Amino acid sequence: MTKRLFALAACGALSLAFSACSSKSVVHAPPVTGLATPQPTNPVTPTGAYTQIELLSRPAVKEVFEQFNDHKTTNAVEPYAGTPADPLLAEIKGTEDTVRPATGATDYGAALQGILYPNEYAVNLADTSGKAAYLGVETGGATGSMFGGRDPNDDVVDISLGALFGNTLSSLGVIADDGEENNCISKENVTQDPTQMKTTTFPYLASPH
Amino acid sequence: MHYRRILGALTVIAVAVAVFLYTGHPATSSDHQDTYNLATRANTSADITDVFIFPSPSNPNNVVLAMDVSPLIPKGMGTTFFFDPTLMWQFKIAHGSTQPEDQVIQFGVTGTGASQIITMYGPGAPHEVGTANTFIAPAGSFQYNVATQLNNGVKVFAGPRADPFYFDLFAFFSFLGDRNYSTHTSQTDPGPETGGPLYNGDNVGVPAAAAPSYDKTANPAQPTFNGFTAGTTAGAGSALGNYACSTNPATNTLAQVAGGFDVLSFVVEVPKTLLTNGFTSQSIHVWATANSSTGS
Repeated sequence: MTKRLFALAACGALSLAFSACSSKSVVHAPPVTGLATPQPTNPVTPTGAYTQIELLSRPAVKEVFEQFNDHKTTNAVEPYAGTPADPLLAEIKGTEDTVRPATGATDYGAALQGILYPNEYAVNLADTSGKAAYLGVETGGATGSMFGGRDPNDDVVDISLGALFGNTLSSLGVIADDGEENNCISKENVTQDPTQMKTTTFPYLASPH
Repeated sequence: MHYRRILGALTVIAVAVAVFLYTGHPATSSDHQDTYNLATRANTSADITDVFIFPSPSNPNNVVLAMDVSPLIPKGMGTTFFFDPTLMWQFKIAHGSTQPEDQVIQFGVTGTGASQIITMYGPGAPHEVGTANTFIAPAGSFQYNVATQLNNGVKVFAGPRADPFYFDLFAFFSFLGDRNYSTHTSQTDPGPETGGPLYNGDNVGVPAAAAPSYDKTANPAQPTFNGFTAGTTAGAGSALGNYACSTNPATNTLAQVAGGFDVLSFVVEVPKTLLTNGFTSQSIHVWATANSSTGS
C-alpha cells in the first residue's frame, strides 16, 4: 500500500528536487565497427545444482540497513523471503529508527519497509521514455521516468539518502514531515566522473581505467 | 591466480597515502566486498557490486541488463581478472508481481584466463524457483572481453569495464565502519557493529591501528558525509543531535583514488519481446544472484 501511496503522491513539483539526482548526459564513445559472431558450438552444460551465495538488487539498501554479518544470510535467501529467513526486513526499520525514531503516527522505518522490501528493481517495460530512473516506478516518475530500473549514471546514493534521512518522502506526501531530517547524511556531495559515464555504444559501460 | 592477494597488495601500494588519510584500511566499498567470505574468496567474481536495467541507447525496442562483479580492480589491470568457472550468475525476473521468479537469464564460464568462453542461458523459465538452481537451455557462447551478437539477435559482453558507481566510501566508513570487511576477522566476527546501528562499537576484534577512526568514544554517533558548506548542521530535529556537518572535501572514491577502479561486467541487450512474450504483464521485478557449484 505504501508503494501505491508513494507513486500516487509523486508530482511535478519535485522535479527540481530530483534534478541533481537524475541521469547525467551520455558520453559519446568512438563508434564500434561491429560485434563478433558467437562461438560455433556451446560448451557442455553442467547438470548439477548451484547454490546461491550472493544476492543484489537495489543499491544502498543492504549496505545502509544491514549489519555486516547479516549479509551472508541475506545473500543466501530470496529477496522476498521475509522474516525470519531474511533479516533485512526488520533491519530496515531498526536502523531507520536509530536516526529518526517514530513520532506518533509518523513512522519512517515502517514506511521504508513497505517501499524497499522485497529488495528488487521495479521496471515498467511498457514505458517509452527511453530513460531509466532509479525508483522511478515507486515514485510515479518523480526520479526521472516511469521506466524505473537503474541507469549507470543515476545518482542512486543521493536518491537513497534523501528518502532515508532527508525529506523526500514527506515532499512526496507519502508520510508526514517528522522534522527529524538529518542534513549531514541526506546527501553526499559527490558527482560521477566522466570516466564512469554510460556510452552510446554496446556494451554501454565505460572502458576500463 | 590469487586475485584477492594481488588486488590487496596493489591496492595497498597504489592508494596507501590516500586511503590512510581517511581510514587506515585497504580500500573497500559498499556492496563491493559485502561479506568477509566474498571479499576473501580466491576469485572475487562472486561478489556482485551493482545491477543496472535501462532502455537500450541504440534501439528503443531493446532493454539492457548489466551486472558488475569483482570490485576494486586497479587501474590498468582489468584484463588480468577473469571469471570463476565454478559459478553461475543470474538475472531473475518476476512478471506482474514481486515473486516468484518466472524467467531467468544465466551465465556460465568455461576455461581460464583470456581464453575463457562465456555461455548465456535463456531468457527462459527457471528449472527451479529459489536458491538452488540448474542451467536452462543455452542461447549461445562468446569469448571473454569480446562484444558479440548471438544468433537470436541478443548482444552480450563479459569482461572489464570502469566501475560506474560514485560514492564517498571514506565518509561512509567513518560512521559505518562495520561495513568495511577488513574490520572483521572472519564471517562470524561481529566487528564494530556490536554497539548497534550507526554506532561503531568498542573496537572488539578491530586491529589496534584502526581503533581511532572507528571508536565510538572518540567519535560519537554524529554521522556525516563530506563537502558541506561551513555552518551546515544536522538540523534542529535530528535525533542524533544538531551537530556540524563535515566540510572536508568529498571524494568519488572509485574514480578519484589511484586513477580509478574497474569491475568485471556481464552486459546483455535483449529485445523487450523476449522478456514479455508469453506474459500478461510488462511490469517486472528484477534481481541478480551468484550461485556456486561448490556451495561457497
